[in-house]
Amino acid sequence: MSKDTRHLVRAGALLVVGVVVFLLIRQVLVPRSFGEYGYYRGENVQEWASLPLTFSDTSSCNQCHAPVYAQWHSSPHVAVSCENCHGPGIAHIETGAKLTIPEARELCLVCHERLFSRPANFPQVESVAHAGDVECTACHSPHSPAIGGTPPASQTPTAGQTPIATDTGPTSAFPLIPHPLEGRATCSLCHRVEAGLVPLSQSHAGRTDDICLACHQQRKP
Amino acid sequence: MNLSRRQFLKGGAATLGGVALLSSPMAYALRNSTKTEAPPETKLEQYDWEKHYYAFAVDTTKCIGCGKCVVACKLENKVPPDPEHTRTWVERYVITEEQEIFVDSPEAGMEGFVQPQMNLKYQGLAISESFFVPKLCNQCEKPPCVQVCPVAATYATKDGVILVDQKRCIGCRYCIQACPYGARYLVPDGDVTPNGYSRVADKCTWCYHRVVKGHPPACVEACPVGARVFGDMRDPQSPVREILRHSRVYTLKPSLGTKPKVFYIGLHFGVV
Ligand code: HEC
Ligand code: HEC
Ligand code: HEC
Ligand code: HEC
Ligand code: HEC
Ligand code: HEC
Repeated sequence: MSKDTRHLVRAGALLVVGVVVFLLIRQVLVPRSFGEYGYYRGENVQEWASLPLTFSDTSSCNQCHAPVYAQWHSSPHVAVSCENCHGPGIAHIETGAKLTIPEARELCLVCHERLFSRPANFPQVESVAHAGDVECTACHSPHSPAIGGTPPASQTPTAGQTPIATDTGPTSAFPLIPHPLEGRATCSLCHRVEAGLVPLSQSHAGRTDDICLACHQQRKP
Repeated sequence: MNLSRRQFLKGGAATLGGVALLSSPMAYALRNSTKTEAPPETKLEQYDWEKHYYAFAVDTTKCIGCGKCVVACKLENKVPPDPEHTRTWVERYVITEEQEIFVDSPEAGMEGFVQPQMNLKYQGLAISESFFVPKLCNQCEKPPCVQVCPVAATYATKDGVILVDQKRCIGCRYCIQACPYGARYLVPDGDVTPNGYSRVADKCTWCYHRVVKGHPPACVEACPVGARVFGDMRDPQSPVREILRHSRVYTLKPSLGTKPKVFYIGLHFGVV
């Protein structure tokens, strides 16, 4: 070999060794799927994509809670998903884990307490003036909050479903009281849910005597 | 052997080209690489990320500041429960008659804004306007966070979402500094991401695991007033396309050239 090819061979060999070493190190350090789609580890996309869900879709609750679902579906709360109030539902559906029954007052007021920053056309109340200490659910069903609204047509629980209390009463908003109130402060003497002299519909479940007059006024003589 | 300098360089270049080839992109369709365990839903296999390009719209004229989106996000994505580490949050803007602007986000908005102590400081002010602005990652078309990552641990997917490869992330916080929207945080010690990592960068993924299976992001599902809208720019029927067609929209800090994909309706100039 001549003098000026020997150093080329040496440099070439060095380059080959360098490339081989580089490839080996690269093989070890660079993850398998790096560069598959771009300058990142391709497998990571799949890792994110295959994470399990926690929240279901509200339509899935219909399978087992049809009566509540129907009531909710024709109420102003149709925009509020079941899981918004009851928490994530996948575990409940798949393993039967218990869902929470939320503490209503706090729950309702997060959305309905009057705030100067809320859009004015959203229904809001000054909670203290509106309800005092009374639970919101005494007067409003969370699944059908409008008072005196039309109850949905079909609410009979079907076989295999959890029976659920539903709003099935007539719908003339706030009937007036036709009789005097003297000596009749304890309304429940005569008016009880599906009992008493003049029975009340299921919409009145949980309503106590102290709140009757918030909705019913006496008929003007 | 009589190798010219030119030939030598050519050879070297070819070798280097070969090395470069090894890292070139190959197939584009999303490949199922976790072969050991069955994916939760079959739909994922049929998902083609080239057919989607996601976008988000926020209607600030509808937001009621209930913070349910923040709560839902934390539950869906195992985000630490404290307000400092969060993927999304709700800001309250209060603008006085003198055009003085106040911004706050007590508890990141997740308790709503109803507690009396959250409203004390605005008592007696002459308020001309006030509204809520939900914030989240803008999934920029030109993301500064991706540019600065020294270990290629953050990237944009073909369907337009910026993700963090938390296995590669070294927790250097460059991306957190680079994000002009404050959308990233470092997972604190003791908390783990859904992928099982701690002390790494984390951010909103637009609930990538939900959207590739056809579900809306958790915050969108939770919003009771439709203030958060998610959609696909490749679908002409998508609600986001509808909004872009019919509303005047604005993006945050447009002058930075990041090209955000979160479009806001009804923003005041004071919102940054
Ligand atoms: C596969 C049937 C099924 C589905 C689907 C289902 N549930 Fe239930 N759910 C039940 C049964 C059965 C009970 C009663 C068991 C109990 O009290 O623990 C129940 C009870 C409840 C309760 C009352 C819990 C209590 O402590 O009294 C709530 C609230 C509830 N479900 C909400 C939901 C929501 C929201 C969804 C949709 C995400 C849903 N469920 C979907 C079967 C179902
Ligand atoms: C606005 C919040 C809210 C929404 C939306 C909501 N719930 Fe409820 N739900 C409540 C509250 C509050 C209670 C407790 C009622 C009480 O205290 O009388 C309850 C009770 C229940 C119960 C058990 C008690 C009962 O009434 O038998 C079931 C089951 C239930 N909800 C299912 C559902 C399903 C299914 C949906 C969606 C279709 C839904 N809820 C939507 C707030 C809500
Ligand atoms: C996540 C937010 C949210 C929660 C929690 C919530 N609501 Fe609502 N509520 C709404 C929305 C949204 C509407 C529909 C508003 C509209 O139609 O513009 C509504 C409507 C109503 C209405 C009807 C107002 C009208 O005039 O049409 C009443 C009453 C009501 N809610 C009471 C309640 C009560 C009581 C609770 C607690 C059990 C509650 N809400 C919990 C969001 C919420
Ligand atoms: C004593 C009964 C009673 C109680 C308790 C009560 N409400 Fe009401 N609420 C009413 C009546 C009556 C109306 C008027 C309904 C109508 O016009 O249809 C009403 C209306 C509303 C409206 C609609 C306001 C609007 O501008 O349209 C909201 C929201 C509401 N209530 C929320 C609540 C919340 C939240 C609570 C719990 C803090 C609560 N209510 C407790 C009786 C009650
Ligand atoms: C001693 C029994 C008695 C007591 C106590 C009583 N009521 Fe009545 N109430 C009746 C009777 C009987 C009727 C139906 C006869 C009538 O029209 O006068 C009636 C009718 C009504 C009606 C009209 C029902 C309809 O279908 O239009 C309302 C509303 C009412 N009562 C509300 C009240 C309230 C509220 C109280 C408590 C402050 C109360 N009542 C206390 C006996 C009672
Ligand atoms: C939140 C408002 C509200 C409250 C509180 C309320 N009611 Fe009613 N009441 C109604 C409405 C609306 C109707 C008509 C539709 C229905 O029955 O749900 C009605 C109907 C009635 C009727 C006619 C019979 C019937 O069931 O249709 C009687 C009697 C009555 N209420 C008595 C009472 C008594 C007694 C109380 C207190 C324990 C009471 N109400 C509390 C709203 C209310």
